[in-house]
Amino acid sequence: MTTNPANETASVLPPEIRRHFPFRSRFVEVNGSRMHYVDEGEGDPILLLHGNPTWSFLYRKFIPRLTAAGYRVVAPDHIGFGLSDRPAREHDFSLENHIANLAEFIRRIGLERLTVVCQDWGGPTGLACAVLDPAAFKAIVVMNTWAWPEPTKFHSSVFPWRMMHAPVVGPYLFQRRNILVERGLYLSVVHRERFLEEALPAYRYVMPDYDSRLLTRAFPRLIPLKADDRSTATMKWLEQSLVKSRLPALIVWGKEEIVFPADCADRFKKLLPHAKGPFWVTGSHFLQEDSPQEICGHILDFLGEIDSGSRA
Amino acid sequence: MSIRIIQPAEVRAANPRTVFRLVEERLGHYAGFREAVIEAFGLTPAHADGGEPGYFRAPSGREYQVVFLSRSGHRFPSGLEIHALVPGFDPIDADAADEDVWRFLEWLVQRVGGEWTLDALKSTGKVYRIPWA
Repeated sequence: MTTNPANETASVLPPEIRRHFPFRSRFVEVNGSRMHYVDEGEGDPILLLHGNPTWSFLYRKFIPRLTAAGYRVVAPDHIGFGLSDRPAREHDFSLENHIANLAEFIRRIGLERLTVVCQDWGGPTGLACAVLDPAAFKAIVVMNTWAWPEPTKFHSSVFPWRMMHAPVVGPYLFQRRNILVERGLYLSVVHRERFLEEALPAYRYVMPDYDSRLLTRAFPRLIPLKADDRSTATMKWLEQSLVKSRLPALIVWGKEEIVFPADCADRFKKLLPHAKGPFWVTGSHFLQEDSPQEICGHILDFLGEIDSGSRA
Repeated sequence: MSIRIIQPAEVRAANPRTVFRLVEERLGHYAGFREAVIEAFGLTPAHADGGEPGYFRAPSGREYQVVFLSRSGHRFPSGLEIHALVPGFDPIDADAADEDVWRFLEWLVQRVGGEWTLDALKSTGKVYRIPWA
């Protein structure tokens, strides 16, 4: 069962949000839920994947730059976020369901020669799709994410991470008090004044009430901390599959990132030794808010090399 | 004054209605929390079959109902709901209820113990600007 409190708002986003996100909202049904996405431009597609608690708005400054360079840009909102449907119960939600939803989205939209750009939960979901169907992919770009079962020090610590989503505490902080949107985002960007003025209203708008915020607390509980956790097996499979991948890869990382610190970028380099990078840009966890132009530059240089290589 | 577990007969609110505050579907996500709830409310597996909900009174004097949830494949209680007991048709004071539930969290975390400290909860609350942390 899902609810869709945000669907009707897609066409009536307030002008102050639409001003920064002037893209046509589209919807497609995946596994019984409506998924919102943006699909702009023509050319080989680039799939931009967000994490918790953001939505495609996070990539608003990527879309015009990448389309102007001759690419089709597709930016979906994961189920439970942005203008997509919301699962009504925590038990409806798993990492495996999320991967399946994204895989179905890619099939339904008909994306081929696809470059996936992923950050936070966009990593485990997008990279899983890439190793499930590598023939559909051209390249992968990883930013501030992970693809293995071992937690970072940040995720292992009681303060603040495990306390935030502890039983009873989690629904209170994430859903009743909306801490990830109201405070967590702010603490995880570098250019905070600009963020407050330009971006926070958009993230706040799509999480208006207790029910709409369910996935902001469900996602943290899916990060494996020990061997028998729910997502451990899938994350192990992902790492073991990714190490065999020969897809061209690019690593871009935030210099100020603390959720997935620098050693995560190094671990991706070991998993994908052929990858370009890591390239370090100004940015905390939500580096897309801080360095969109610089990141797009790295992506376009990287794709330009692939495209010129394939033409040669 | 702390959270006080009360019996149904001790509820003072006149003709109370229940107003949903939160639901925890995975009380066993960290096992100590489920154990603390079992101990605090004196729960047994029999409670899963039509047992009474629990009640508590916050330091403010306002009262709350705790509904214990059961789910196949999970130990009881698998979850819980917290509802404010609001007299008659009075409106709920949402901020006051949020403060009461925060006090309940402080009380619960202390009962869990070990690595789950009141200091860690309060520090987390301060970082995320919970006014009563």
